[in-house]
Amino acid sequence: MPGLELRSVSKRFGPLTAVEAVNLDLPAGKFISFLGPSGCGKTTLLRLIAGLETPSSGQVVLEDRDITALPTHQRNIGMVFQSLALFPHLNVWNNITYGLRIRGMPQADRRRRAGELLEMVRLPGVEERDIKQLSGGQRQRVAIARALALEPTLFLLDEPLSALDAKLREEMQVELRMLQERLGITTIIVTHDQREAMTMSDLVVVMSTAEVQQVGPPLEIYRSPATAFVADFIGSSNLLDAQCVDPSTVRIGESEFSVPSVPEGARSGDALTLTIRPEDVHVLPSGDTASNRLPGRVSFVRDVGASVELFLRCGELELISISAPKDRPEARPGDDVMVELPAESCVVVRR
Amino acid sequence: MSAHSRPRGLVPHLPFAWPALMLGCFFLVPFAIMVVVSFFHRPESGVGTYEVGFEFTHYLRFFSPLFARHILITIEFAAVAALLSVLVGFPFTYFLSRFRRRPQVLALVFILCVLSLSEVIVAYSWSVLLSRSAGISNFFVWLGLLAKPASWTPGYGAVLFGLTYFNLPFAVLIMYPQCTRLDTEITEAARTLGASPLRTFFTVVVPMLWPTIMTAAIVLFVFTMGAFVTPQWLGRPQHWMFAILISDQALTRGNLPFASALSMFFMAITLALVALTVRLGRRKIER
Ligand SMILES: Nc1ncnc2c1ncn2[C@@H]1O[C@H](COP(=O)(O)OP(=O)(O)OP(=O)(O)O)[C@@H](O)[C@H]1O
Ligand SMILES: [Mg+2]
Repeated sequence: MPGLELRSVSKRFGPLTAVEAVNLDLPAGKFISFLGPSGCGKTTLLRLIAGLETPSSGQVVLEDRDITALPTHQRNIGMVFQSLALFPHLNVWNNITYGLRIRGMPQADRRRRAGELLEMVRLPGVEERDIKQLSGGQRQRVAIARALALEPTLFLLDEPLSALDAKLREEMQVELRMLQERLGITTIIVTHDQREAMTMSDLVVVMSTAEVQQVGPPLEIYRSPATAFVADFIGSSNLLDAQCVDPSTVRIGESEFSVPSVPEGARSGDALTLTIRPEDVHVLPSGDTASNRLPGRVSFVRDVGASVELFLRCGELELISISAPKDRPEARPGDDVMVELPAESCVVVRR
Repeated sequence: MSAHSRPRGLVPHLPFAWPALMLGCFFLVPFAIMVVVSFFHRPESGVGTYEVGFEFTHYLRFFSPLFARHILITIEFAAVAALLSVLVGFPFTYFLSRFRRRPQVLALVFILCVLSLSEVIVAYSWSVLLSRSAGISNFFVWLGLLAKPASWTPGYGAVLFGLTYFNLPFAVLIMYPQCTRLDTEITEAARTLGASPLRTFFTVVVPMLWPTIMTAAIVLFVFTMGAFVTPQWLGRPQHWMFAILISDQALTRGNLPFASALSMFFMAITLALVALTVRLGRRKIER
């Protein structure tokens, strides 16, 4: 099914480029996250899709229809704003059915629909309340109900959960995801929390300043980051400067490591980055020399209960290893150890 | 000692002394004098004199067709001029507050400049501009919009126009702060819900800023009730507003007791109308 397509969309604010030639092809019915650090242009990209900003160049195509010039109010888009932007002069049910009133639905029908929508976001019985009489989490739900009242083609959310406390945020993540699966609506959520993006979405769009770095399912992005930026941004990762030797070997310092592959077109001597997840770094007793191993020393141990983190120093290199408590290596700060970087866990990207 | 005990001694109360003194000297005392004088006796012959006494003669004089007519035209001018300036001023102020910073500041500086003009200058300028000989009707003739120059002053329309023009900068400055505070995401939310910019303006912007609009209307109404120069310059005697009658009694006829009584009456009417407007305005919001 055709979804949302951005064709080399750029947005400039005076001299500043907020979004630079972004190409995206997002399938319909999926849950998509825009993930990136603060100020990288996520909100701008979302607003371009909603029609609240006009692109400096490029096209926005929704379900095979070019909507670049279509004004916001004709796009049939549901949006939850960062500030929620509920109408303070209307009570809950009038807020939720504002869009239906604009379409001319009679009051009795609207009232009934408001009840259904509140049921859907699991907040029944607050129809008559004032917005001021709701808690932060309840307002969130009202904003979601309002955005979904018109059964929009696209559901856009700009960091909707950032104002909630950690526990409520996790609950809402699960709930949003379930809601989206039930309605099958194409949903785009903006976040700078990589955990949130990873746990909720079918597809993650990782952005650095004004540009899209990688698009893919969470696990793919986690397992094989396309660039050093993505590797660094998605969870904590070990990033090691490396040099290409041949298509299955790189050199780090004096030692050579076998790797599954190197980026296409990399030639001997090219500067690359070897990335490896902390949970893939194995710590072995000192002296077990073999390939893909480095001698090192434990500089710090952090036991956080659910996992144990070892901070390692191998000459110039610094590495982090994470293991489950039951696999905890017998190592204490100052111990000499052997660090193994299994070939199959190494991902080599361009620097 | 409880935390809520009231401060004792003179010193903690000193900060209140200043406003109390100001209010007393410049408001309460003159007001009391006016109340007392309004009951004094005025001999038939003596211009500018009055005798100590207590009588309701002056208050009973209101109930004549002349004063009734003038109080009605005063209320009409004040209400219509306040309404017109809010009607013109609100959309202007709202759209100004949506502009970028620089044009906003420039426009506000310009408005402040207009505000610094005295009522005399404004009224005089319009009396020239609306006249037949040197007025803008000549310009319209040149444009081909009018067949021959017209005289628009003195007249009802000219007074209304002058009052509205004079009120407009006040309307803008009263409403501007709240307009800038309206979050753009709120109007954007209305747009995503299918409301055109015009629908958004009437279903979101106006209701949200309704208290501000009401405030501006009431302030301008009270403000215009006391208009003096504009109706005199741009209107005929039947357009003279109440302040002119009061000054006529006090200065020309030297009847201070009656002028005082008229002022009291005028104040009572203004207060009653404001109270009524506030009530009606509140009901509209609750709905
Ligand atoms: N209306 C505007 N005028 C000028 N510059 C803007 C405007 N909107 C955004 N920008 C700039 O564009 C860049 C991207 O902003 P954007 O709000 O899209 O970032 P973001 O990724 O959403 O950040 P955050 O996570 O902090 O919300 C920023 O440098 C910002 O200053
Ligand atoms: Mg943002």
